[in-house]
Amino acid sequence: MNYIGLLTIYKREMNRTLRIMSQTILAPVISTSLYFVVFGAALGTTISHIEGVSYGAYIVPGLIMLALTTNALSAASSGIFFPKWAGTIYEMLSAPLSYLEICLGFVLAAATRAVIIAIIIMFVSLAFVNITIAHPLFSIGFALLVTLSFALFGFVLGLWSKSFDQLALIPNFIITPMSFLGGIFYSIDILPPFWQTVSLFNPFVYMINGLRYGFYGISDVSPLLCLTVVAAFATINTLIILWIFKTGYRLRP
Amino acid sequence: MKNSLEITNLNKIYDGGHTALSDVNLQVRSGEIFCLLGANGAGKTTLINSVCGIVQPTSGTISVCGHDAWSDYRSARSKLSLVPQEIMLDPFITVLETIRLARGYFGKKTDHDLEEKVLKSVGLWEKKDSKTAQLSGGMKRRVLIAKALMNEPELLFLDEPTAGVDVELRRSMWDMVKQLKSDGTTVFLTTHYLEEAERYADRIGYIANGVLHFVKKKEELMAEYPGKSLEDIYVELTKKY
Repeated sequence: MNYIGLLTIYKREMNRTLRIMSQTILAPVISTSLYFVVFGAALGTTISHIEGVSYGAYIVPGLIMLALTTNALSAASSGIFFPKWAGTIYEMLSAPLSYLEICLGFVLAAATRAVIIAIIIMFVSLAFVNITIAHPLFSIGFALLVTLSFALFGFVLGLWSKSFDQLALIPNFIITPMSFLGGIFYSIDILPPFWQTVSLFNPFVYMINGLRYGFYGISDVSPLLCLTVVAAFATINTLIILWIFKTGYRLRP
Repeated sequence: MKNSLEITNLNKIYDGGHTALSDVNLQVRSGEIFCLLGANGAGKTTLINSVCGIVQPTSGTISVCGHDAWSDYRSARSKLSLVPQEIMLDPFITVLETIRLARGYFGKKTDHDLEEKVLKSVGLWEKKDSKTAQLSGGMKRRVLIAKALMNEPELLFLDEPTAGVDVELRRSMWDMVKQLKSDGTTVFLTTHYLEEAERYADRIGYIANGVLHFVKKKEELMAEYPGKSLEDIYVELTKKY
């Protein structure tokens, strides 16, 4: 194992995060904090408690999950896309680095960035609402599994993309709408039966409710099912990555 | 004599069906300067990229300093470095960060003395804290050379290293190549500056349409065309093949 090589990729990516911190950390923290201000502190006071949890506190797990997924995805996808686009990927391909080491370097750095943002958002939320976490270990494990899965997905997306347009396509038109419709701001129980059924096909429902269970012990769907869906998503991404390792897809022509 | 590079029956057919390399066999001897000549699109860069792990060969074997370039890629790649034809640099980081990353990818710890030595050898020590985007084209090419040297390679690939650079840099680069050779480094070179190949190469190969037509000692090749420069010989070769 080329640990120094892996660490070099990781440090390179973390330095990139810190170099453009206003875009990579500050912007997502501010935009997510605005949701607390608008939906939590302002509108939230007019909305009654949901299953014994104040509305401001109810939306916290969903917003944390939104930050983890979108930031892990964008960090990993842009991380591998940029050297591919600039041509500097040749440095890694001609070095004694395995596909696994290259992938881990980008994925772990993307996950780190997402976790840093989520932790900051967590602390910001404490300024607006009181939070007591019912199942801390489950919450941490579940959040990390989702984050790593999305970082893997981002790595695949960055490899697949041939242009900046393609890079933005899936996050803008699939991930963001699905995450907002996944119950960040509401319980799917309030939806009409048809839309409740439709929502059950949205994987974000399970990710958000899984973390909500970890925080407050409440969930629209079974926590075990949440864990199963996330594990399946992680497995699918891992299988795609293994196929990329085998074929050199869009890395080595 | 020991070989730094041994290529056997190498073929590369790209997905679109284009045959870039056709049954290439080649040995590059340790410590020599080997120059591969050929027109644009002849297969020079594909050959180099196949050895360096950037392109997957369709078939054939490649051995770098006795290590298979694919089944034992870690050992093979740790022996080689590449200066690519295109200037490909991260524009947002400094010269020093760039060469430090290059060494890190090879699994080697940061070496401040080597960084200073290499950057001084390519005349970039004063520019070490400049972002690569702020450098001139010639300086960027020097950064590519510095990056390659940070691995302390036994086999160095220079893919048209003097394309678009001024006379001063070209001379200093050749001085550096001569020094590397005297230190025992094997140099695999492609260039369109034929007077440079004539002056510095020990052996010359000619490739056209993915076929390596011959490899000869420079003196043997020149003797076959008495009174002609390598440039004249090259023109004749392009007509012949």
